[in-house]
Amino acid sequence: MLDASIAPGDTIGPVTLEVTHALAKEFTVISKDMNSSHYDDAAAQRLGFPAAIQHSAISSSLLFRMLADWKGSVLQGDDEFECAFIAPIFLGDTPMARGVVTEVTDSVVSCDFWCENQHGAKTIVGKARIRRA
Amino acid sequence: MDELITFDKTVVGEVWGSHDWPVTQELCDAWQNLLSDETPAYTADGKRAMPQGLLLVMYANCSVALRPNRPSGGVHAKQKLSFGVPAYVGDVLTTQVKVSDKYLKRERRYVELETITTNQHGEMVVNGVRTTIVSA
Repeated sequence: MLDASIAPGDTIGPVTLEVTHALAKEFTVISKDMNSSHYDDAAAQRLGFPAAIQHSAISSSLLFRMLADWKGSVLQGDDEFECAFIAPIFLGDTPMARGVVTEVTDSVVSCDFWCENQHGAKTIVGKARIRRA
Repeated sequence: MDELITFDKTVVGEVWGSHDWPVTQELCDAWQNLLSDETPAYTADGKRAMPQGLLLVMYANCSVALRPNRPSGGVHAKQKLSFGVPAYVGDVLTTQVKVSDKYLKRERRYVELETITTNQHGEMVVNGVRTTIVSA
Protein backbone atom coordinates (compact mmCIF):
# COMPACT_ATOMS: atom_id res chain seq x y z
CA MET A 1 0.00 0.00 0.00
CA LEU A 2 1.28 3.48 -0.79
CA ASP A 3 2.55 5.50 2.13
CA ALA A 4 0.03 8.05 3.43
CA SER A 5 2.70 10.78 3.46
CA ILE A 6 3.45 10.47 -0.24
CA ALA A 7 3.79 13.84 -1.97
CA PRO A 8 4.65 15.35 -5.36
CA GLY A 9 8.39 15.38 -5.88
CA ASP A 10 8.98 12.14 -4.00
CA THR A 11 11.39 9.94 -5.91
CA ILE A 12 10.83 6.28 -6.85
CA GLY A 13 13.62 3.74 -7.28
CA PRO A 14 16.23 3.42 -8.60
CA VAL A 15 16.36 -0.18 -9.77
CA THR A 16 19.19 -1.29 -12.00
CA LEU A 17 20.39 -4.33 -13.95
CA GLU A 18 23.51 -5.25 -15.91
CA VAL A 19 22.57 -6.79 -19.26
CA THR A 20 25.19 -9.48 -19.68
CA HIS A 21 25.60 -11.87 -22.58
CA ALA A 22 24.49 -14.75 -20.32
CA LEU A 23 21.33 -12.86 -19.35
CA ALA A 24 20.50 -12.01 -22.96
CA LYS A 25 21.03 -15.61 -24.08
CA GLU A 26 18.96 -17.04 -21.23
CA PHE A 27 16.20 -14.53 -21.99
CA THR A 28 15.78 -16.04 -25.45
CA VAL A 29 15.13 -19.43 -23.84
CA ILE A 30 12.60 -18.09 -21.33
CA SER A 31 10.82 -15.85 -23.82
CA LYS A 32 11.02 -18.28 -26.75
CA ASP A 33 12.17 -15.27 -28.78
CA MET A 34 15.11 -16.71 -30.69
CA ASN A 35 15.85 -13.49 -32.60
CA SER A 36 19.66 -13.52 -32.67
CA SER A 37 19.84 -9.71 -32.76
CA HIS A 38 19.01 -9.85 -29.02
CA TYR A 39 22.22 -11.67 -28.06
CA ASP A 40 24.55 -11.68 -31.10
CA ASP A 41 26.35 -8.39 -31.82
CA ALA A 42 27.10 -9.43 -35.41
CA ALA A 43 23.41 -10.18 -36.10
CA ALA A 44 22.39 -6.77 -34.72
CA GLN A 45 25.14 -5.03 -36.67
CA ARG A 46 23.71 -6.49 -39.88
CA LEU A 47 20.50 -4.59 -39.00
CA GLY A 48 22.43 -1.36 -38.47
CA PHE A 49 22.77 -1.39 -34.68
CA PRO A 50 26.17 -1.07 -32.96
CA ALA A 51 25.55 -4.09 -30.69
CA ALA A 52 22.87 -6.62 -29.74
CA ILE A 53 19.63 -4.84 -28.84
CA GLN A 54 17.64 -5.92 -25.81
CA HIS A 55 14.01 -7.00 -25.80
CA SER A 56 11.58 -4.42 -24.42
CA ALA A 57 10.51 -6.92 -21.75
CA ILE A 58 13.94 -6.75 -20.07
CA SER A 59 14.11 -3.00 -19.67
CA SER A 60 10.41 -2.60 -18.87
CA SER A 61 10.74 -5.32 -16.22
CA LEU A 62 12.81 -2.85 -14.23
CA LEU A 63 9.95 -0.36 -14.34
CA PHE A 64 7.31 -2.88 -13.23
CA ARG A 65 9.61 -4.10 -10.48
CA MET A 66 10.27 -0.55 -9.30
CA LEU A 67 6.56 0.29 -9.24
CA ALA A 68 5.70 -2.95 -7.41
CA ASP A 69 8.40 -2.26 -4.81
CA TRP A 70 7.10 1.26 -4.36
CA LYS A 71 3.41 0.37 -4.27
CA GLY A 72 3.87 -2.80 -2.24
CA SER A 73 2.00 -4.96 -4.75
CA VAL A 74 1.81 -5.55 -8.48
CA LEU A 75 -0.25 -3.09 -10.52
CA GLN A 76 -3.97 -3.90 -10.35
CA GLY A 77 -7.46 -2.53 -9.74
CA ASP A 78 -7.60 0.11 -12.49
CA ASP A 79 -3.94 1.09 -12.15
CA GLU A 80 -2.70 2.47 -15.47
CA PHE A 81 0.72 2.36 -17.10
CA GLU A 82 1.97 3.72 -20.39
CA CYS A 83 5.41 4.09 -21.85
CA ALA A 84 7.34 4.82 -25.02
CA PHE A 85 10.53 2.99 -25.96
CA ILE A 86 12.59 5.88 -27.27
CA ALA A 87 16.05 4.31 -27.61
CA PRO A 88 17.46 0.81 -27.55
CA ILE A 89 19.32 -0.84 -24.70
CA PHE A 90 22.35 -2.77 -25.87
CA LEU A 91 24.17 -5.82 -24.64
CA GLY A 92 26.57 -4.67 -21.92
CA ASP A 93 24.44 -1.70 -20.90
CA THR A 94 23.34 -1.12 -17.32
CA PRO A 95 19.82 0.31 -17.50
CA MET A 96 18.40 2.05 -14.45
CA ALA A 97 14.74 2.74 -13.70
CA ARG A 98 13.71 5.86 -11.80
CA GLY A 99 10.52 7.77 -11.14
CA VAL A 100 9.02 10.82 -9.48
CA VAL A 101 5.57 11.49 -8.04
CA THR A 102 3.79 14.21 -10.00
CA GLU A 103 0.33 14.46 -8.42
CA VAL A 104 -1.46 13.12 -5.36
CA THR A 105 -5.21 13.07 -4.83
CA ASP A 106 -7.38 11.19 -2.35
CA SER A 107 -7.85 8.38 -4.85
CA VAL A 108 -4.89 8.42 -7.25
CA VAL A 109 -1.12 8.92 -7.19
CA SER A 110 0.39 9.85 -10.55
CA CYS A 111 4.04 9.50 -11.39
CA ASP A 112 6.45 9.90 -14.27
CA PHE A 113 9.06 7.21 -14.74
CA TRP A 114 11.92 6.50 -17.05
CA CYS A 115 14.72 4.11 -17.77
CA GLU A 116 18.17 5.45 -18.58
CA ASN A 117 21.41 3.81 -19.65
CA GLN A 118 24.78 4.08 -17.91
CA HIS A 119 25.48 7.31 -19.83
CA GLY A 120 22.32 8.95 -18.46
CA ALA A 121 20.46 8.80 -21.78
CA LYS A 122 16.77 7.97 -21.46
CA THR A 123 15.64 4.80 -23.21
CA ILE A 124 12.05 4.53 -21.95
CA VAL A 125 9.75 7.31 -20.73
CA GLY A 126 6.28 6.90 -19.31
CA LYS A 127 3.75 7.56 -16.60
CA ALA A 128 1.51 5.62 -14.26
CA ARG A 129 -1.65 6.29 -12.32
CA ILE A 130 -1.87 4.23 -9.16
CA ARG A 131 -5.15 3.88 -7.29
CA ARG A 132 -4.92 4.35 -3.55
CA ALA A 133 -6.44 1.44 -1.66
CA MET B 1 4.20 -21.28 -46.72
CA ASP B 2 1.63 -18.62 -45.80
CA GLU B 3 1.90 -15.21 -47.38
CA LEU B 4 3.77 -12.63 -45.28
CA ILE B 5 1.40 -10.19 -43.55
CA THR B 6 3.07 -6.87 -44.28
CA PHE B 7 1.92 -3.41 -43.22
CA ASP B 8 -0.09 -3.04 -46.42
CA LYS B 9 -1.86 -6.34 -45.80
CA THR B 10 -2.62 -5.60 -42.14
CA VAL B 11 -6.36 -4.99 -41.75
CA VAL B 12 -7.53 -2.49 -39.13
CA GLY B 13 -10.38 -3.96 -37.12
CA GLU B 14 -9.39 -7.55 -37.77
CA VAL B 15 -9.44 -9.82 -34.73
CA TRP B 16 -6.47 -12.19 -34.89
CA GLY B 17 -8.04 -14.54 -32.36
CA SER B 18 -7.07 -15.48 -28.84
CA HIS B 19 -4.18 -17.35 -27.31
CA ASP B 20 -3.84 -19.17 -23.98
CA TRP B 21 -0.69 -18.60 -21.96
CA PRO B 22 -0.12 -20.50 -18.69
CA VAL B 23 1.57 -18.71 -15.78
CA THR B 24 3.79 -21.46 -14.39
CA GLN B 25 5.97 -21.46 -11.32
CA GLU B 26 8.89 -22.55 -13.51
CA LEU B 27 8.47 -19.51 -15.73
CA CYS B 28 8.20 -17.07 -12.82
CA ASP B 29 11.19 -18.68 -11.07
CA ALA B 30 13.27 -18.48 -14.24
CA TRP B 31 12.26 -14.86 -14.84
CA GLN B 32 13.05 -13.72 -11.31
CA ASN B 33 16.34 -15.62 -11.29
CA LEU B 34 17.30 -14.12 -14.62
CA LEU B 35 16.70 -10.59 -13.38
CA SER B 36 17.79 -11.15 -9.76
CA ASP B 37 14.32 -9.95 -8.83
CA GLU B 38 13.39 -10.74 -5.23
CA THR B 39 10.60 -8.21 -4.88
CA PRO B 40 8.47 -9.14 -1.83
CA ALA B 41 5.52 -7.30 -3.40
CA TYR B 42 4.80 -10.32 -5.60
CA THR B 43 3.51 -12.21 -2.57
CA ALA B 44 1.90 -9.25 -0.80
CA ASP B 45 -1.57 -10.80 -0.70
CA GLY B 46 -0.45 -14.29 0.29
CA LYS B 47 -0.48 -15.67 -3.26
CA ARG B 48 2.35 -15.46 -5.79
CA ALA B 49 1.67 -12.84 -8.43
CA MET B 50 3.35 -12.96 -11.83
CA PRO B 51 6.11 -10.36 -12.31
CA GLN B 52 4.55 -7.92 -14.75
CA GLY B 53 7.57 -7.64 -17.01
CA LEU B 54 6.44 -11.03 -18.26
CA LEU B 55 3.38 -9.39 -19.81
CA LEU B 56 5.54 -8.16 -22.67
CA VAL B 57 6.85 -11.67 -23.21
CA MET B 58 3.26 -12.91 -23.21
CA TYR B 59 2.22 -10.34 -25.81
CA ALA B 60 5.12 -11.27 -28.05
CA ASN B 61 4.29 -14.98 -27.70
CA CYS B 62 0.63 -14.28 -28.52
CA SER B 63 1.48 -12.29 -31.64
CA VAL B 64 3.79 -15.01 -32.93
CA ALA B 65 1.25 -17.75 -32.16
CA LEU B 66 -1.65 -15.94 -33.82
CA ARG B 67 0.24 -14.46 -36.78
CA PRO B 68 3.50 -16.37 -37.30
CA ASN B 69 3.82 -15.03 -40.83
CA ARG B 70 4.60 -11.42 -39.86
CA PRO B 71 7.85 -9.78 -40.98
CA SER B 72 10.73 -10.16 -38.51
CA GLY B 73 12.64 -7.20 -37.14
CA GLY B 74 9.76 -5.23 -35.61
CA VAL B 75 10.48 -2.65 -32.92
CA HIS B 76 8.28 -2.18 -29.85
CA ALA B 77 7.52 1.55 -29.78
CA LYS B 78 4.81 2.14 -27.17
CA GLN B 79 2.77 0.22 -24.61
CA LYS B 80 -0.37 1.17 -22.69
CA LEU B 81 -1.78 -1.04 -19.95
CA SER B 82 -4.87 -0.88 -17.78
CA PHE B 83 -4.91 -3.42 -14.98
CA GLY B 84 -7.62 -5.54 -13.40
CA VAL B 85 -6.92 -8.47 -11.10
CA PRO B 86 -3.32 -9.72 -10.73
CA ALA B 87 -2.14 -12.77 -12.65
CA TYR B 88 -1.06 -15.52 -10.27
CA VAL B 89 1.06 -18.63 -10.63
CA GLY B 90 -1.29 -21.38 -11.80
CA ASP B 91 -3.49 -19.05 -13.85
CA VAL B 92 -4.06 -19.50 -17.55
CA LEU B 93 -4.26 -16.13 -19.28
CA THR B 94 -6.26 -15.79 -22.46
CA THR B 95 -5.41 -12.82 -24.65
CA GLN B 96 -7.53 -11.61 -27.55
CA VAL B 97 -5.64 -9.56 -30.11
CA LYS B 98 -7.22 -7.08 -32.51
CA VAL B 99 -5.63 -4.63 -34.95
CA SER B 100 -6.83 -1.25 -33.72
CA ASP B 101 -4.88 1.07 -36.04
CA LYS B 102 -2.05 1.42 -38.51
CA TYR B 103 -0.39 4.57 -39.75
CA LEU B 104 2.71 6.04 -41.32
CA LYS B 105 4.76 8.59 -39.40
CA ARG B 106 8.15 9.93 -40.47
CA GLU B 107 8.37 7.15 -43.07
CA ARG B 108 7.89 4.47 -40.41
CA ARG B 109 5.06 1.93 -40.44
CA TYR B 110 3.20 1.72 -37.13
CA VAL B 111 0.72 -1.01 -36.21
CA GLU B 112 -1.39 -0.83 -33.05
CA LEU B 113 -2.70 -4.01 -31.47
CA GLU B 114 -5.45 -3.90 -28.86
CA THR B 115 -5.25 -6.72 -26.35
CA ILE B 116 -7.72 -7.98 -23.77
CA THR B 117 -6.36 -10.49 -21.28
CA THR B 118 -8.55 -12.50 -18.91
CA ASN B 119 -7.85 -15.32 -16.49
CA GLN B 120 -9.49 -18.75 -16.38
CA HIS B 121 -12.32 -17.28 -14.28
CA GLY B 122 -13.14 -14.71 -16.95
CA GLU B 123 -11.79 -11.83 -14.84
CA MET B 124 -10.03 -8.98 -16.63
CA VAL B 125 -6.29 -9.09 -15.88
CA VAL B 126 -5.04 -6.38 -18.21
CA ASN B 127 -6.13 -4.47 -21.28
CA GLY B 128 -3.43 -3.09 -23.49
CA VAL B 129 -2.48 -1.23 -26.62
CA ARG B 130 0.84 -2.29 -28.10
CA THR B 131 2.38 -0.14 -30.83
CA THR B 132 5.03 -1.69 -33.03
CA ILE B 133 7.12 -0.31 -35.88
CA VAL B 134 7.02 -3.04 -38.49
CA SER B 135 9.86 -3.70 -40.91
CA ALA B 136 7.78 -4.33 -44.03
